[in-house]
Amino acid sequence: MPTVLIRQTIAVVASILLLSSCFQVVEEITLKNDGSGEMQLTVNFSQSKSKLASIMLMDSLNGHKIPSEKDIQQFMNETVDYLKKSKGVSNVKKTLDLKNYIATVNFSFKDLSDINGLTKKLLEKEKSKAPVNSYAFEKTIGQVKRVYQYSPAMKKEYDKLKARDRELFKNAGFTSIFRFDKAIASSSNKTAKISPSGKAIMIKTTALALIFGSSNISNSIQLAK
Amino acid sequence: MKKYFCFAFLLLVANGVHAQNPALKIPSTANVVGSINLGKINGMMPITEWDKTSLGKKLKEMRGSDTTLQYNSVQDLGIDLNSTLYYFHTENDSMHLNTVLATLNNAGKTDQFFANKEIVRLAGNVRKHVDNDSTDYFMWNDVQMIYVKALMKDAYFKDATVAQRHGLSYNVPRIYDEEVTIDAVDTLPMLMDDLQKIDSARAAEDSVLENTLKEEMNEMEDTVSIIYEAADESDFDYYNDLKIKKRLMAVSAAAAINEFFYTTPAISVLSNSSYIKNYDASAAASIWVDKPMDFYTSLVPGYLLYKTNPLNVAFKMNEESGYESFAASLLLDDRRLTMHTQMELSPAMAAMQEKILSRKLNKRFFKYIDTDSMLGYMSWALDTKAYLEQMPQLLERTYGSMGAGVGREEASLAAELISLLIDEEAIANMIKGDAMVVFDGVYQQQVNYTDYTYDENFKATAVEKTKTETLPRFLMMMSSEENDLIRKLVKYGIKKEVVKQSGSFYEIEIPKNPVRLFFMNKDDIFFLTNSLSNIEQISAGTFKASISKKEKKSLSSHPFSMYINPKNISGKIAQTDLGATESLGEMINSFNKMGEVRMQANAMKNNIYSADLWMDVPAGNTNAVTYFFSLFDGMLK
Repeated sequence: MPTVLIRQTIAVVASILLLSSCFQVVEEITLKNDGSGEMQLTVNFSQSKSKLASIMLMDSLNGHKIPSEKDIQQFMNETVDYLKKSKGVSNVKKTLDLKNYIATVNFSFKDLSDINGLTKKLLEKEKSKAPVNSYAFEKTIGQVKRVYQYSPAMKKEYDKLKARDRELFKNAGFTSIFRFDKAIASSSNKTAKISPSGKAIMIKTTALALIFGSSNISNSIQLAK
Repeated sequence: MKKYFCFAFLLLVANGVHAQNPALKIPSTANVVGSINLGKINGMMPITEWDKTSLGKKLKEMRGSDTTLQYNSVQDLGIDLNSTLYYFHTENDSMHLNTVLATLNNAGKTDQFFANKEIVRLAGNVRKHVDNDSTDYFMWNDVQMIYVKALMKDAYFKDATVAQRHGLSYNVPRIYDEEVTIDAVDTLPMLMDDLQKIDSARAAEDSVLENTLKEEMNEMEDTVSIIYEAADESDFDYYNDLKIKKRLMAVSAAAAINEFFYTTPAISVLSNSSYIKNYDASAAASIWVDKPMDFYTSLVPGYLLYKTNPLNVAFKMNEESGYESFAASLLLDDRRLTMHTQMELSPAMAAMQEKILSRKLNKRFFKYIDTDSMLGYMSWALDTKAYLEQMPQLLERTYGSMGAGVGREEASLAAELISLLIDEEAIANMIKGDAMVVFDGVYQQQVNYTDYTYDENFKATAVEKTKTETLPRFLMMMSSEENDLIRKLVKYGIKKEVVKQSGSFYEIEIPKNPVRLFFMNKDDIFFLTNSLSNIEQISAGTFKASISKKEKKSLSSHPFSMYINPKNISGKIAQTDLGATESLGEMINSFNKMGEVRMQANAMKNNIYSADLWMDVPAGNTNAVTYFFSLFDGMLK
């Protein structure tokens, strides 16, 4: 009895008072001249690790079932299996740091178009609606296009959440990085920042801006000849 | 259907007295009776103000898409807002009947409310509205309105003979070696026949009722054109069954509303001593449940879970569970909102509970409670040894009556087995049964997290950063004699490197645990805290605290107490560096709007076990009603 009581007391009190939860999603794509390359997706909850560690002591919170470490491991394994079966994808690796709650998946692709629809299908598998997001590389003219189409379904899903659950998204961020062999000549997205080397470009935005559609991460990148 | 429940709820929240006390209409057989004193609530906050609150707006929204109901305000219902509204539940073998009684003072408004609905006008200026599937009935005249909803007991109709009699297909026994043919049953005439027989005696005494019943039957014959099909051993005809079920409910509801509307029972609930004993005339709202465990077994397998527990039929739980009645009252005044609940126990059950509740909270805990600074606490005092000794009987009585697939004999066997396996004395020495958790402040701790820096080619490198988090500080105390088992457990923990000794106290090293945990045993008290300074002071005997007389008395005289001081919580958080941040600011504002909250279980008296929840009305609110609505405002946002 005391052990359960202690666990529950810590879990409930800490999860109520630790309000400053947030997370970061980082998408990195390294594209070679021949259209092949590597992609890495990182989900970093380390800023919320105290809260997550508390929540993990409970079975459910705000009506949502709390996944166990085993559930998280299984989800990661399923993701890797799914990627391994995807066309043009190879060398799939994952890391899972449950001390800091950071998960990464990286893999190689034969052609940039091979990654189209991967995240959408993954999210659909988890019954989440994803916006349209596609990549294309016109080798002949050296142009990389990312087309992102805002989905109002995201806002609808967000609106369905309780105020307490929405807190999670308040300070959450999304970072997209593209790296190339050649220098970047121009980029259409005004919020994008080109690296000092001139060969990488970054767009940083917030989860709320993506949910409400006030930020667009579409970009047309022209590489130098 | 939802809109009718909403309306019934509105009726409940929107009462008084007609020429006679409406409660006289509640039969003595009612096993649940609820009431809302609209006059009291209206006096404290005019009902015209309700509509402006979030709850009032929500009720308006609940009308949903049915724009045919003419409702813009609670006042549009035509109910006398200075009356008392009653709900009661009656049942027989086959049906649950839920009834609401309201006093009207403007029936014109009620007519208007249903203006776009079909209203049947009956003799004596009586109006009636029936919902589409005929299971909800409204009947009113110029002074009273009655609503009845019938819900069938699935378990009753699972019986093969009953199912066959009513033409229900789903429980027809399947016999595979011989062909079985069941004749088609035209249920309605048979039910009407039954109904007429049941009511004939009363109808003969009351000509109004007789005429009305006749009208009802004629109307039913005119409008019902359901053809019941023959049940077959291999058929499951869901839709036909549903039609039959709805018709059965409709007939029950029709008979009940006529009875309740036109007649007054010879013996009303006002002659029921249990109801009268539990009724608090000063309450704004109250509910009374007779034989709660019987009600539970009757209700749960039916419409609550909307499924039937076949074992409920197999194991009839009519034996005494020990719970005689349950009652709750909501008391509202200018200073406080109080919820009083009480359970009347049978003498045998009360004797058992008294033994369990005989322990008092350890007075030595008081040395560690500081009234002025604490954010809240929770305490409980049970006699572990008595509890473990009474457990077999308690398990047998409680779970043996729940119908959860476990019969009384099974529960008794399980309880005896548990009793054989445990050593009550040894456990009671380790966990005596009284304990307390005190939240005495908040503290801040630095935590590391991972962020990224980017090189000239935006290659990410993980870097460790720190941030400050605010956590509650707590102290848990439990009466416990240190024994060999605990000493061996601590030794084992040290060996496995999950426990670290620091002088006379220990630290638990749980990987990833967001808080540091310290424990020790001193003066037969087991202490657990997340504050190093707390445990150091306890260890050194320098802990400074001062408990008020009021708090000491409250803790000593109640087997369970809970206290929350929202002002202290917001004050402590505001003192931290993070107090000004936006997210905590909202939390501080919410706590500032709340008054003190207390919950206490009282000592057993006359076989009654009771508990009270108090919420003080904070400044800025006129009284408990306005505060009650403001709490909803916060919740519904």
